[in-house]
Amino acid sequence: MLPDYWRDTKYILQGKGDRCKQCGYIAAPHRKICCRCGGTEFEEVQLPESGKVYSFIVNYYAPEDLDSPAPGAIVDLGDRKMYGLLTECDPKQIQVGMPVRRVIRKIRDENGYVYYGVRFRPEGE
Amino acid sequence: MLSRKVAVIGAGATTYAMHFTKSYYDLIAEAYLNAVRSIGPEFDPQKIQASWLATVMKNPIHGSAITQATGLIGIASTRVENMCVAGGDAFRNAVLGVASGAYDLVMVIGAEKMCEPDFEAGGRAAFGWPHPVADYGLSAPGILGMYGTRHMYEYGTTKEQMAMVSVKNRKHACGNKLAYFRKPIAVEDVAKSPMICWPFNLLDCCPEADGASCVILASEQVAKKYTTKPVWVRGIGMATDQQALEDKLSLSEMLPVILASRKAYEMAGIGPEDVDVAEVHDCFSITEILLYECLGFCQKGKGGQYIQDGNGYIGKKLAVNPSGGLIGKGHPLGSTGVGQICEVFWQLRGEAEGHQQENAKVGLQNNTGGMAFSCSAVNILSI
Repeated sequence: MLPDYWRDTKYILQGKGDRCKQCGYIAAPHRKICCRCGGTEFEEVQLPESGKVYSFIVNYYAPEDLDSPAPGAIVDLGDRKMYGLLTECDPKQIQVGMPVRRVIRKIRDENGYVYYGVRFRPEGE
Repeated sequence: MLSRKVAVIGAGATTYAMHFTKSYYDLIAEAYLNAVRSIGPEFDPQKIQASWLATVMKNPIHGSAITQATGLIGIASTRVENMCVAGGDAFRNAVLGVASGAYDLVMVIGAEKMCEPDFEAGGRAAFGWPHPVADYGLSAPGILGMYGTRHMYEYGTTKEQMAMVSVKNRKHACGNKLAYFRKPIAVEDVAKSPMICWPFNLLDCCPEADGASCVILASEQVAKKYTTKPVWVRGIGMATDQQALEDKLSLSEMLPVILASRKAYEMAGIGPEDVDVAEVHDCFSITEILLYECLGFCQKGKGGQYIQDGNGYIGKKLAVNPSGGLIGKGHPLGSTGVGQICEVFWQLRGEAEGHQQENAKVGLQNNTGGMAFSCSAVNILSI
């Protein structure tokens, strides 16, 4: 999956998206066609660094390169939502509405190649 | 012989090369945009009703890859895999779609990524669609779990109500000689079973299985020669939305189910209140609760209450999954939908020994699934 990773490092490592010039919806990772209005022209934007948990799961049978149980969340950043594994987080304490912040952590480990990307860490109130 | 003439009105493609800067979805989008633009500015691609996607090497992948790439939310979309013949066969199916009168405007896309290592398939580990790194860590229960957690948050649905779905379907399965499980369970057994992926315990999940099913269809003339009890197809519907969970408008409802069922009900000229028996896609307990709502059997948000009130059992006005559903019967992916049609067929003819819904006249079959639950098919039959 190296090519997929390489094509989207702007999103995965830098948290950047593409705002549709026609309707303003932000595509992240990139798309050629806006999923809200069908527009095809975009401008690069920086996504917010923090948001609130919109929904979550805790995977007790996660793939080998993750620690089980592996919590993951869809986070509402305001501008758009973003999926990410959670980190430094007690799976039993996760709640919808919980504030989290985007951090860069290891995501996948394939044949010795380590892929870094976005995870979310709970923010203390 | 085709019932009516069919024309090709536009065409577009990408160059064929090693396209490392373009993803599979980018290639689909580019070919699609070229074809749409070839027709002219007055053409509105939102009017395309159905699509067929020919892709051989990527697995699993399905029709909603078109929806994800093009943004044509709601379009019916079928992935055709037939090795090298996939493209020609996809085209043939699209022609049948228009020639039959079911559709007036359809699209065929063939797309392949062969110059990169193939994305690893498998239901357990790497459900990283649409992105293998950015979306890593989900699994089939993970995807439904996102819907589940949100439904519990928005409507107060409980794990106990979810367990009641499993209890019903395991009970129904006891009467079905084709089912995987033939022993009932109690609500408490679900919470005691191992946690697989919050919010699902083992007994909230359907089992994988091996299996096959077959149905035979005929025109009215041919049907009369072979049976006095034909089961008629009254309505068909299929719809997709995008594969990215983060871009969906809501995670407490399933848009493809709502759109597909609407198309099927409209074609059949009936509503959800007319259905006597339904075989629906309970891959996880919460899925059936969502399906009660999205198929119109109860109001939005009331799915948990619906099963808690004892609805859906054989003998009630509507029997949901009298066969035991995926939770009771098992889920051999490709066979499940066809098997559901078999079940509705037997129910409507009074041949569902051991698990018969009496006087069933109208049956509904529903398959929902795929990446981020982006596809749904609903077929309505009656005797």
